[in-house]
Amino acid sequence: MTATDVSILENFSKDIAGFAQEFAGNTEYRRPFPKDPKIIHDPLWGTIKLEPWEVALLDLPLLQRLRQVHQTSLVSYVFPGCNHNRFEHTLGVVQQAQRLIDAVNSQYPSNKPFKPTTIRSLRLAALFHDCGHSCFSHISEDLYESCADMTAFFKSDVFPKCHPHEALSALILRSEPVKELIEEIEAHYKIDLDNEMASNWIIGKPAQSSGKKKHFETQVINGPFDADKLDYIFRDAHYSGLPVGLDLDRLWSSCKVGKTTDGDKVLTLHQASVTPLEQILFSKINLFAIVYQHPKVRAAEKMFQAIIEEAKEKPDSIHFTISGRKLDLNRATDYLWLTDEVFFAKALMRPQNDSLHRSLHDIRYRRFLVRALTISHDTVAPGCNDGFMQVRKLNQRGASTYQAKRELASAILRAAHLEDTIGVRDVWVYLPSDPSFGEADRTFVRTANKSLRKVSDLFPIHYWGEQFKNYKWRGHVFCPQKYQQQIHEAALQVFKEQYELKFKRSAGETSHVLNPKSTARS
Amino acid sequence: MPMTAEDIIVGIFYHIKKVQKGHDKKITADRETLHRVFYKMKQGHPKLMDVFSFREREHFPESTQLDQALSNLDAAGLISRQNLAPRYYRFENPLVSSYDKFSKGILADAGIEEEEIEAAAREFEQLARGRR
Repeated sequence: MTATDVSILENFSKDIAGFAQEFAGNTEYRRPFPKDPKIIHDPLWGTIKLEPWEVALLDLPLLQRLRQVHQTSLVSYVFPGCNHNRFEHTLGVVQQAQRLIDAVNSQYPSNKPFKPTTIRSLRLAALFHDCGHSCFSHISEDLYESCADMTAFFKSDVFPKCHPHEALSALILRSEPVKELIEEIEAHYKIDLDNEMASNWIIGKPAQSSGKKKHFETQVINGPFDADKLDYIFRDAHYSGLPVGLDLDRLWSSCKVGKTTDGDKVLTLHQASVTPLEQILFSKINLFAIVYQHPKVRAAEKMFQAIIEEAKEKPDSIHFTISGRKLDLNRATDYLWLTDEVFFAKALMRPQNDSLHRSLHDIRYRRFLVRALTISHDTVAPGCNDGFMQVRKLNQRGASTYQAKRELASAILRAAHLEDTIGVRDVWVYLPSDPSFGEADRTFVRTANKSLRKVSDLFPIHYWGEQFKNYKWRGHVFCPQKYQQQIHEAALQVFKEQYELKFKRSAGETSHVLNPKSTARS
Repeated sequence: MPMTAEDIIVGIFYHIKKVQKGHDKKITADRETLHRVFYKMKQGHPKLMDVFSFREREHFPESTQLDQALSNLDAAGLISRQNLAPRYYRFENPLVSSYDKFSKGILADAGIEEEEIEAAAREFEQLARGRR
């Protein structure tokens, strides 16, 4: 590790502690510890009961700020019901974690696998699991993931590989201000909480006992059918108006703790209870295809990225402020201060003729970019396998593929001779990742002969993934409506020149281009 | 063009030898085997396999880059799983042409020598065969 990396990492830890101090450690914002439990009514799960120590944590600005972070980024501009936020989801995860724990414990008349301190700590992990999210959830995660402090942190191998928001959530939970607060809570309520373990569960790291891993605890928070997944699939589907039918009672009715051949302890299902898991994975595909990857949602996301990109490039002229603090979006830790409200509030502080004001209002008032080209199995001309692969591979996450897509957009802009008319941030190449079905390899099923097998051994769920990429996967080139035709033709030309990738007319037709062209026969 | 996991896999698969003359090259399509083998290979070839990161999971270490790359190669028709028991990925000409046209140059630009890929391909064959 270089000296620069060491200094970046020191600042990274300091910044996380600073954020935790302001949002959790600042006694000015703290209320007296509550005496009574609290009942919260959730539209999805009904009554959620929180213990007084949990209410003390929930009252912190650290968790209350999650009310200002939409669960499904900008999806509400296409599915108007999708206005739910990370706060509601957090409560749902606490509830689902408890139901899963109760279901497993109920299988054991004595010597229950989940003990009281573990249960409380799992609920603590559920409460904190998303506190590292920034504005519009996952779409900002793509941007701060490539910040120097985040990359230096992952390079340091302090944590195993995990999602950036999980790392931030776990680091906040481990920070001194939060640790001190939890110690106060433990003393006040005379309870034990293991916040070190809770932070490990958030990043998917299991506890060990006699050298054997206790995956079953981690799996409540971070596993193939964890509380997080169960809540987000139900909640996102419910609020988008695409309700899913999942038989959770059946899923949990047979859930027990089993031992793998390595002696590690994992959650297991009975062979007859696998269908609900298949339902979960099928619902996940539907949500990807219909909701998360809806072209309008993705166009809005690109407009958001354009603003953040500009703020990163010109921090002096475009910056977001919160409580007088000027955010530097070249640092991952500064995203923690940014919420959806802070983002849109910026428009109100700028004059009407200001370009940032207009860009923000273009999102708020739904003046989205449009599609100029659709890249899919159906629109690519036959025989273009090599070029299709070279383009499709840009859906891998990371700074180099992000840069390659930006360069591609610049080339399209130049080919359209529009460099002096619109900016490079008005043209975007969007290539989504495929949903993963690794869950099928991580779920253990008890068979009749008492051996454990993977779900994927019993049913090839990965086949669904193949159907998804052939029939549902779509990449796009986005641009302002006024220049759709020019960008359409320029994109066809650039893909052909750079990648020998040719398109059928359907690439323009499905994008509603007025006069769609084809390069398939050229 | 950036070098990604896809180029490494195309390079390795390109150098895999045919099992039988006149037949397509084939490798196991078992996800567990592939993730375990690539994980093992990363220990021996850290520079070559740098683009693959692995997350420790319940059963075996998993790499999202590997999942996505195989998915991309499959979607683009460079490798395919046929019939109702898709135990193998098969590949022939599209993969060869993809290597010659794009990945060979991209890997060379990234400072990866062909001998290193060939060695990785041999190791891959050995490991994958052992687990099949």
